[in-house]
Formats: sequence, structure tokens, C-alpha cells
Amino acid sequence: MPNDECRMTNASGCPSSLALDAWVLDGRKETDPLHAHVKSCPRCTAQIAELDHASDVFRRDVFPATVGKVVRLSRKVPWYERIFAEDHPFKLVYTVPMLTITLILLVIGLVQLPFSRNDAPQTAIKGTLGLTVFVEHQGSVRELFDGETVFPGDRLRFRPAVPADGFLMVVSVQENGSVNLYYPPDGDSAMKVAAGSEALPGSIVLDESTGGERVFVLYSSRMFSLGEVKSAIQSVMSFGSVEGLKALPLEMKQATTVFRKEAVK
Amino acid sequence: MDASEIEGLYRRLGPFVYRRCLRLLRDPEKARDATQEVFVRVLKNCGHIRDEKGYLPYIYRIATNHCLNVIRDGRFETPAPPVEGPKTSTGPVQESSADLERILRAAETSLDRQCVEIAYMSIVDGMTQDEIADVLDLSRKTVGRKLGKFRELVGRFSNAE
Repeated sequence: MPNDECRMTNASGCPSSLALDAWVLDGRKETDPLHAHVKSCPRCTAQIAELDHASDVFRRDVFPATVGKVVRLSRKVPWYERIFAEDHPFKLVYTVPMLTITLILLVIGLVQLPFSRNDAPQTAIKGTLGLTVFVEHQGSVRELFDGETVFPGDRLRFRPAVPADGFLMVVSVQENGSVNLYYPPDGDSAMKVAAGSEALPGSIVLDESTGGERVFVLYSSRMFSLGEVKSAIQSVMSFGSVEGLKALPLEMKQATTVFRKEAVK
Repeated sequence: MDASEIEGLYRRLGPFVYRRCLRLLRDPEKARDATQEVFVRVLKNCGHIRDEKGYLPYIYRIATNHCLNVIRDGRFETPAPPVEGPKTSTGPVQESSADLERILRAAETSLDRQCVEIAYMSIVDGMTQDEIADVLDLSRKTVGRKLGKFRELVGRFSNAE
């Protein structure tokens, strides 16, 4: 990924949007050769006008409405700071009663815990299942986004966000319908995991095969088998490509991403 | 990075994110939502960058990917009307609108969406193959090959009409 200035021109002789953006961000220096070009080029002048208009709208409407959420999501802040944030949905007025109720429930739970240890399974699942995929390509690691391309020899690593203690499986479906079990690394059943967001041990090294591949991370509060998952995949594979296969007909939480494998970079 | 640093960066880089999302989604409300999501993802991937211009390739990459996902996932029930902007006779918005339309329509049917990302950067953004290769972390050869594939796809799409 470059961090240098892009000063190349395209077939029309104009700098790209990227180069123009870099010039604007750099303070529209008059000493830059782009300055003279923009002044004499109606096409580039229009590009800059479009950016200026978008900037005005952003500063007037978008920034004030979104900055709180952006800062909150970008910062790793303690929970007590988040809940007291001005634009937090629970705000201060709800916080004190909520903390009181939580405390009472906690005390009741602690009192009853020794007597209810063998009761019904703790299957209340809150939150959503998430999946982040990282790819290591020629020594550099980055997040792999949906729809991107990978190459033979690339290593993939998975970091699911698990909502509660339960059972997890990671499988992939190739365009030809074949199914690979990525996690657990062996066996034919889902692995028991704890709530949280930890990278799964080990990584997948991609072979020479090419084409689309979709990865599913599957989570349930009950144990489930690879056979069950394969049956579900086979029942829907005929309806389209892996890109269109956004969910499996299984009663469990699912997160998915798709990528394409190409032979040469 | 503390809150004031994030806020400052968002103030300076947000317009570039917003403009990009607006160009792709053509709906101010959708673009506003996309802007915050994209910016948070950019920050999570670019914590090591010191020079602000270094964020731009990531903004291009992540915003394009995110917005094409929004389009692909069918979150638009009906096509959004064109966004009001500065009136220009030869502006890139008007000039590239036909190309943009073809790209977005192809995005819904393409099997290889990275082709669409590359085509968008080439046709609408006017980026050279070298720039696209750098932004998407691909070789120039791959970019050229995928551009050819995209043209073939759009050709088939046009013939089918």
C-alpha cells in the first residue's frame, strides 16, 4: 500500500481522483504542478468543486451527526466511560436504575448459584457472531475484506467474535461444491469455545486451486456435526455460486465472507 | 489514539470518505451511514500511518469495497435520485454517470467483484493501473487482466440488453 504522492496521469492526461485528493489534502500548494493543471482544466476543476461541495455537506451535516459514534467505535474505552457518553443510547438517566437492577440480579444470582449448578443448560445467547479474516501475503499481514482476491501460498487466519460459550465450526465451500473443514483442524464435530474474540489457533495455507470460496463460521449452544453442515450446504449449492450463498439453512448463528483465489499475482 | 486525535482526523479526512461514498451510493443518507463505518474500518487498519496522505489509498480501497457490498446486498430497494451538487457543464460526475451506471449494474451480476472495484477506480476515478495496483495491493498485470475481464462482462451485459 503506498503512502507516497500519486502524480501519475491517466489516458486523458488528467491526474486521477486519488492524486487530486492528495493535492487538496496537502493544502492545494501552488508550487505543485497539479495547481496549474487544475486551473486550466475544466474537468479537474469540476472534480475539485464536487469535493468542495461534499466537504461542505460533511462539515455541516455529517460530521456533527456522526463524530460521537466514530470516536466511540474507534477508541478502546472502558465500559463505564462508554455508558456515560453523551450520545450513548442508555445515557445517564437510565444508568443508575440499570446499575441498581444489575446489582440486585447479581446478588440473587450469587445466592442461587450453588443450588442451580446442574439445572438447564446456560443457552441464553446474546449479541451477534462476527468474523474477521486476516491474510498473510508475501510476509505482510492485513485484514481480508469481502470479495477480495488471494493467491496460492497465502495464509488465512480467522478471528471469530463468539457471543457466548458454545460450539464453533469454520467451514469453506468451493465453487465446485466441495466443503473443507477449517476449524476444528480435525474431527467431525464443532469445538467447544468460550465467549470472546480470539484468533483461532493455526492458519490455512491456500493451495493451487482457483475460483470463489466462501467461508462460514457457525456457532450454536449445542454440539453439531460436520455431516449436518455438509447436508445443509448440499441442499442449497444448486441455487447459485458461492458469492450468492449468503446463509446456510441451519438453525444457528452464522457469519460469512467470500474471496477469490487466483493463480498468479 | 485519543478522542481528540480521532476527531481531528475525522474532520480532515471525513470529506474524502463522504465524497467517495456519495459517488458510489448516490444517496446522502446512505453515504452518511457508510462514511462512519468506513472511517472506523480505516482507522482500525491504519493505526501505523503518520502522514495523512497515507490514509487516502486505504480510504479508496475500504470505501469502494464497503459501498459495493452495500449495493450488492440489495440494501437499495429503488434507485436513488442523482445527488445535487455544483452545476458544471463538463464535470466528471455527469461525464462518468453512464460508466458508473454500467459498473453498478454489473456489480450485481458479476462473479468477481474485484473486477468491478478495479473498473470503478479506472473509469470513474481515472486512476492508472499502477495506482490501482498499489491501492489494492495487486500486481499491475492482475489489474490489467481484471480490467479486460470487466470489459468483457460489460460487453456481454450490453449485448444481452
